[in-house]
Amino acid sequence: MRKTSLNSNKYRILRFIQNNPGCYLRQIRNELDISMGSVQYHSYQLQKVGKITSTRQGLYKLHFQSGTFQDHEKTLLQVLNQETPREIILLIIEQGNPTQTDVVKRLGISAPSINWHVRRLIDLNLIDEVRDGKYKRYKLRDDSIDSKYIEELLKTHHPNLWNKWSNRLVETFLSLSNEDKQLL
Amino acid sequence: MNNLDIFTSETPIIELIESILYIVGTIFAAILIALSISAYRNTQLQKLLYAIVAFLLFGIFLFYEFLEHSIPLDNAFTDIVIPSMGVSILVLFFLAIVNKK
Repeated sequence: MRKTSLNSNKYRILRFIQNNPGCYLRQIRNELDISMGSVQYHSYQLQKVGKITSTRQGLYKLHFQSGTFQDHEKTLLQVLNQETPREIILLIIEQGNPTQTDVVKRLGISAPSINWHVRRLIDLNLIDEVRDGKYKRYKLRDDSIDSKYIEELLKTHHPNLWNKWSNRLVETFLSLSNEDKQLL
Repeated sequence: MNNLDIFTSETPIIELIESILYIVGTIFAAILIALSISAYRNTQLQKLLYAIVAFLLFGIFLFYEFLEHSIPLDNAFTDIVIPSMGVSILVLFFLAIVNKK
């Protein structure tokens, strides 16, 4: 009887991870109403048999179905959990090829901070910088990543309060240091 | 005792407020340390390491002040260490601001 129940929980957790890529343990516990010990046990077992994988992001361990998510998609989910990079990607989806100035105006945070986040998104191979005369424009790197797909991810993945605060701490330091004022 | 005496003399209420302020300050320092560590792990921004150490020193500084308030710890060593902590915190924030990385 106990074995059946445990297997059922394992199946529910696997289904939940399939439907909510990048979910974390507390989220699984809350949504499925299973004890944390049970969630930890089953997620460990599922990882052991190779049905799911996990990656750490800040204080959270994000879970994915094995084989479904490529590395850049995992990176994308990690970025979507941070406020500023998430808003930059949203703006690129919305406007197509915004300039650096558009991004600064829209997000309302300092240029050095925007610059730093943009460079990071470029390093993570999520966006590309394109020269357009004297302007720099940004576009999503991988055209195979459909904007509708990102929109779907955005519905389930959003920064929690802690991530928002840590993001603002980063921006405060970037603004104070005023590393790069170039805005073209 | 006139109305101003409550602020200028060591009354129990003032001592209580002092202790509460030290405790609240230490808790805030702990939150800021955790926040900086989380931000560093998310972004790998090196200047946050200065902030982590600065907040840590600030937490120790407040906790020590709280202890000193409860248990007299006055000695020559603390007379140097406590102001040094204050200077170190400012130096670390300065480095976080001017450091290019």
